[in-house]
Amino acid sequence: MTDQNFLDATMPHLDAVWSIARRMTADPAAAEDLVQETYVRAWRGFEAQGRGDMRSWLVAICLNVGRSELRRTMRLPRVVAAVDQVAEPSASADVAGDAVVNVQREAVARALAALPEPQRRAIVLVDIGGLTAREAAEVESVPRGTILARVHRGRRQLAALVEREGLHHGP
Amino acid sequence: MAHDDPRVVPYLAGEFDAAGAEAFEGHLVDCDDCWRAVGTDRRGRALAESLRELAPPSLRDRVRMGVEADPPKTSPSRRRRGVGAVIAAAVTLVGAGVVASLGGGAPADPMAAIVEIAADPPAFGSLVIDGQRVELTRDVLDGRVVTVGRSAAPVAMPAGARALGEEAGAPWVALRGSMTVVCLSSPENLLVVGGLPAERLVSWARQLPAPAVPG
Repeated sequence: MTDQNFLDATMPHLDAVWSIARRMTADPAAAEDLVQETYVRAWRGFEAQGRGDMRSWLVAICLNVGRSELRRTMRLPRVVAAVDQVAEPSASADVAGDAVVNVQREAVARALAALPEPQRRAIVLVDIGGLTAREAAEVESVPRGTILARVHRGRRQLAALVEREGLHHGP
Repeated sequence: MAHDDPRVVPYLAGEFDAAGAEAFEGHLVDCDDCWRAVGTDRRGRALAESLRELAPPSLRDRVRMGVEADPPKTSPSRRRRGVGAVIAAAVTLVGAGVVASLGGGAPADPMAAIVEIAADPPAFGSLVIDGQRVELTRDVLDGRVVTVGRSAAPVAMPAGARALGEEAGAPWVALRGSMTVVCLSSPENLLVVGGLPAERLVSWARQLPAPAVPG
């Protein structure tokens, strides 16, 4: 196994790991550290892992590292409402439109943070991390049907909470 | 009272075959509760998906370099013990400062020593790498402690490091766990270690005021 084999197998899932890490800590620098540590640990265990399901494996490592960090520092909330205050450079010149999008995302992040923990985790894994229900069920060690039910309840509650804030999504 | 149809969740999960989906969609047209449940689920899904983010390009590079710099078959505990032994053998407290001698029987990766010191830094001191003295100070950048080493000549690029540019004398960067090590030769010879992206450390280091000349 070479580092290039590892990178070829895991880098396609970097956005998913990053999206989940961003929901685990309010500090973007800490989220980068979390992703970096996730990949270093995955690299050390890559040979034993073989060619299994890379995405759910990386996500499970990320969650474990995040939990360990939480226990160590007792500072990081498990899921946070953070949205980058400094937006990524955008080709768009629609500053007002971008501002509206940022406000909406902040509202969604707050609503997500207000969900019950099991629903929140299911949504983070499936809708934000992009895991299938089967993959999320493996990560959470629960039946697949449980994940589906949690995701459904969580989505309905999320929509209701955002609507209560007076924000609507989509056109 | 709204009814809670058990078919809603499997339908949304795409578990029905074409005939099953068509049958349930026939029910949806006539059932306000199920229609609302499906619509709300889809709105919630779109809202949640709006929180997906693309990883910053700098993180992509950082992860790649971290993997390439990390030997695959070294267990973390073995590595930590190894670095600890290096530090225990190499670091000697002298007064309030520290002198770490890594020349002669230097470890295979002398950067590990400075990373270890940067993670638990002394107030001040010096480090000798391959016979060259590196004077250490601490500073705070973006709320994090960074360790700054100054030397008479640039520290040679270690294995696993990369140059940040094509030109001669370009800064190099090495990643060790969550710590980033950068080395510049302009405007002075600096070794900077901290848990921040390399680009941030380099841009900050380039603006550091030159140290006062004693005497």
